[in-house]
Amino acid sequence: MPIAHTPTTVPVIVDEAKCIADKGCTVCVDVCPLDVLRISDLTGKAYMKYDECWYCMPCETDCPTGAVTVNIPYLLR
Amino acid sequence: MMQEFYNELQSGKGPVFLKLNHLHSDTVGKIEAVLHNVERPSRGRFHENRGTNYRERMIEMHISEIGFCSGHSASGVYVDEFARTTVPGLYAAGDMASVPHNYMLGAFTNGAVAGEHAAEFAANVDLPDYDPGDVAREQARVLAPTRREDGIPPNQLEYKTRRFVNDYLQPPKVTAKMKIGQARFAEIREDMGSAMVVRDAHELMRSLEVASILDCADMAAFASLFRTESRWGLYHHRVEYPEKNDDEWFCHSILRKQNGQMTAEKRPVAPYVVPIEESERSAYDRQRIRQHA
Repeated sequence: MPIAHTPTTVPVIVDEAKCIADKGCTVCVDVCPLDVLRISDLTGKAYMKYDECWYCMPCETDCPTGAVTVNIPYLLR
Repeated sequence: MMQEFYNELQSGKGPVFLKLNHLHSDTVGKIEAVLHNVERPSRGRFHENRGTNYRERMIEMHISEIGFCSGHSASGVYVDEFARTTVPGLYAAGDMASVPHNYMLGAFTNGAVAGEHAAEFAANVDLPDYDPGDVAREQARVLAPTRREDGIPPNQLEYKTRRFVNDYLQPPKVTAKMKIGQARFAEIREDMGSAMVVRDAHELMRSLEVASILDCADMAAFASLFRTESRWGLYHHRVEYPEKNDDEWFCHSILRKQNGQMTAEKRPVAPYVVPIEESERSAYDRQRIRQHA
């Protein structure tokens, strides 16, 4: 049976102008306890691939360039 | 406090509020520092979004919010004060062990204790022989969802399991409901074994997690049905056995897998490592609200 993709606004936003993942940084990917962040093959920047976020915020706190923002998702506002 | 919160909601007198707006702003700031930094790091942002501030008005609380950090429950793999399980050389630490749950500092400390003792143990023991057949069987089990083209993704099995935990196992615990839960868990287990499909390493990890979640759900139902008394306020309120019964149940409920079946037995509570006053032993019962205001 085919698997559907349901759209959601992801809570973790990466400012691509500030993200230095293309220079080898993987801090946000490494500190995420849910394993939901990845580096994009297309852009070389970090992004949230799986929406299983706990909103625990180490990705934002530890990002060396301040590129990561954790938003409280609409359904929890 | 959970029982009192529940009573308030059930009586129709809810919602329940956290009231801090009678306190000095600095005092509220101290409490916020705990709630927003130590306890739940995104909580400050959550209140910002809602436009709510403890200084201005009472804030509605959900029943799940009142369990602040420092540890709740002690269910999990049975361990002693050195994080040793009952299997020599096997250690368990953090929320999966029978230690107070839900706080990072406790988990870190418990992990350090486990690591130090495990390293000491390992230094004096040679790696024993093992059956390569066991490894092959475990690999086949773990990788089975990667070998299917089509099926049920792990997040759906997890959602369904959690929904039955919420709807059928949550206290007040009713025997008939818990048995329905067990029957549904058995169906989910069958689906997990025959139809779970994963498409990448992340989903494979989640497929292993859902297997553990389902085991925990099954064990929760089994242990709840084994203990024919009520204890810990709402947490283990068994409707058919409303009274606490220390004579028979001041003990651990230990679950085992024997011949492929779950079994339950009692285990006496070990002597306290840190001695406590006799009067402290009933402190929990004395702080309960017995009469409705």
